[in-house]
Amino acid sequence: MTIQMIIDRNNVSKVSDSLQYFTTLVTFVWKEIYFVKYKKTFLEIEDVLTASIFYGYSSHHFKLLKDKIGSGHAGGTTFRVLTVAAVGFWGLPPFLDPQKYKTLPIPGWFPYNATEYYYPTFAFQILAVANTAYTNSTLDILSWVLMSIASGQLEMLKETLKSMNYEEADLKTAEEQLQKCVRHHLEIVNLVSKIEKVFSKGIFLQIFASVIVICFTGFLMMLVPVASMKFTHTFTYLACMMCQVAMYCWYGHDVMTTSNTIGDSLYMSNWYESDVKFRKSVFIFLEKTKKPVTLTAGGFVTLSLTTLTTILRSSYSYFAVLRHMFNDV
Amino acid sequence: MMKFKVSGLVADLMPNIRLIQGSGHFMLNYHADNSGALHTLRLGYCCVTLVFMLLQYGCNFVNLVLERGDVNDLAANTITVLFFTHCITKFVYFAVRSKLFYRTLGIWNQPNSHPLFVESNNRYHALALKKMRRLLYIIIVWTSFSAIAWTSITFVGESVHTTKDPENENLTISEPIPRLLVRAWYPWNAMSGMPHMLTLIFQVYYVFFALAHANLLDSLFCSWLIFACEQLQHLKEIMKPLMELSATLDTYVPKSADLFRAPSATSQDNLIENDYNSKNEDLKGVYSTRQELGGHFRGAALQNFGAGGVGPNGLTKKQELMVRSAIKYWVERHKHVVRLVTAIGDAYGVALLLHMLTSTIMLTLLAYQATKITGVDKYAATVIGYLLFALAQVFHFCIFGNRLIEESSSVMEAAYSCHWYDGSEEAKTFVQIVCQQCQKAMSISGAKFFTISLDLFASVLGAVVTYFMVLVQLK
Repeated sequence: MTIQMIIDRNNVSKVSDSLQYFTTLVTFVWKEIYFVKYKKTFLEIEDVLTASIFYGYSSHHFKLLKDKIGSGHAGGTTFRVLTVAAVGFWGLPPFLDPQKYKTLPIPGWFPYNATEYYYPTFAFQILAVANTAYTNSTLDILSWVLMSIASGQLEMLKETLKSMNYEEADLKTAEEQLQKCVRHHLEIVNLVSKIEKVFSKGIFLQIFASVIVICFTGFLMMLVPVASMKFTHTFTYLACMMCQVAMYCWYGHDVMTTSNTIGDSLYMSNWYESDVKFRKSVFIFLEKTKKPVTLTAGGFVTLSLTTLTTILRSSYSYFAVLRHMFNDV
Repeated sequence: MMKFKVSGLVADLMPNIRLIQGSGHFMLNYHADNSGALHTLRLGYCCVTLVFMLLQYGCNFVNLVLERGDVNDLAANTITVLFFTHCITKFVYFAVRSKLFYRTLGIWNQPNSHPLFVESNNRYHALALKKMRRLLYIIIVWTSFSAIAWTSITFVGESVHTTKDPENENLTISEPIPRLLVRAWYPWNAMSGMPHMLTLIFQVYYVFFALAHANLLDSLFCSWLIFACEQLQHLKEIMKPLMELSATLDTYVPKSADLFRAPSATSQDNLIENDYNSKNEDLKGVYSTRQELGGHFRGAALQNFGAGGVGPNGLTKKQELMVRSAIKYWVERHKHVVRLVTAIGDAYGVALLLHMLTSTIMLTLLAYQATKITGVDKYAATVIGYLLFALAQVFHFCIFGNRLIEESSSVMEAAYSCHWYDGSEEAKTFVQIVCQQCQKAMSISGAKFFTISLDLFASVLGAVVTYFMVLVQLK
């Protein structure tokens, strides 16, 4: 595929055709490399999740956690469906479109004549792409579900804080409860930092690649006639890529906003009934919760909905530039 | 049938609610008589309005598709379609999410109260009511004026549009089209006579009701924000007397009856008696400001102080309870305001997001249209009219969103500027936690994507001006 791209570098449309898959593939390879490199930290995450502070809550609390994990799974399922659709639409054109008979889905340069050994090459390509798509989506869904677990734990913490009743509790029980909440908060922050360590660099590359892919796919969609199979495929692929980057930003944003409102939920309890000595500990806790728990990509790009709008805006501007270039040619 | 009794926000916003119901929105609560027949009648009215709106909108859209050949016509029709998309969106949004609106309207049904602060509460409530009425009048006047202006401008100038000359491909001729408020396609010929009259009347109804739908919902949202801001003002005002009341917990305390009697001008010396505290010579000067405290405590309920035992700080049990209850009132009222603002954000956030999306595209196209103005004529008037209306709609909710942000962030200043250093330990920790909480201003966000403030309006205005400048240069 690399060689094909180099041969065809003067023809913008052909380059963009292969560039989208190429970028995705390269990103995927890098994500895998980083994941394997931080394998130890990932196993540490598993250990952190078994910490006792995360358990021992009422079913009402667990319902909050389950809702969040449910939404994580829903996002993951949508993405999976889109990937399957994209791979399906991509594999079908050679069979359904009589013009494209015996052409390979991904343009590539092979050391042998591809048309002679068409079916094995086709099968090889299909298998390769399906495998890549599946593993890529698994990695993404894994990080999304972990993020939704973190935000579910934060919701549970908020619920505990909101329902603490200071009227009947004496100083000692109130202090113990607050200590438990503080330890819970610390563990969640620890969990999120570990998640970030494992996935951060991969997400950064993913964002970078998504900008390029979205812009090139948009450009391709403009070239291809609307009624063909290729258009449907390009459209599903675009939807896939956008969904991928949007999900990262969405779950990161979710963690950030939930952690922002921990202080609010403590305020919503009847703290004014509590002892003056106790309020001093509350104050220190509130100071810490003022800083939101953020997930970053590569250390400086925070995952949030603002980042998503920036990504979409930059893709659009590159797309406009590309279109202008194409019209001039 | 229950006796119909309105309270809280519903009572305050009754004229607003009645207008909304009159314009055909799906607000089916808040009627005295909600029996089956009347309910079905009202539901029928709403559905009929919906059908009419959608039909006319469909005709607009068909016209857009039919006339997409000419760029000028395409731009003009797209702007019209987007404008009415926004109105229809607000209508459908309310129908779908009316439960959230009912919840927000019902949130203030049972506010807490405290005898010490009743007067302040009522004063700010009356202020909020006055402002809400004034806003409603302005909105009604503005909507009616826009509808009348639109109708009258239809009768100015020629009612034509340009199409390609059938004989010569390069020339364009002008062909007459029906003189109507909005360009739409109808299955009947609306050029003249009875069909024209009826269609015209239908379009006047459509334009007026569409404008009313959008503007009335916006004014409901802004009225909620006015109410929340006035409540915050009330909280800021009672912070100082609360501090001074709690100052009695640790430091000097006068005789209980004196605390709650309006002091006469000559009896300043007798007000402060050092019965229990020996170290208050320097504080005597401070507590000559008993007058302002006295002004707040004229409630009849406070006359029988003096009974009950004396607490550890020289306070009676009742006084300590009074202070604690005042702090409780403040915090609970503040929490109630936070709940109201969260409910408002949940109810209206998505509508604001959709509004901003349609407005952005529409304003971009309007900037393009504005570059084609060639003098003071009907075209210029319509373009400027659209522009001003769209910008006014955005400004309407931005200014109240901004006020909410300002009010909620100034609560901290009020907490700091009262004499907290005179207060008891309990009052000081109360101020501490309140300051912490109020550092972050309460704001309404458009479904988490952006905050509603004057910054948003400035960025929208700036974007329109930039597009206009760039397009003028490109011409």
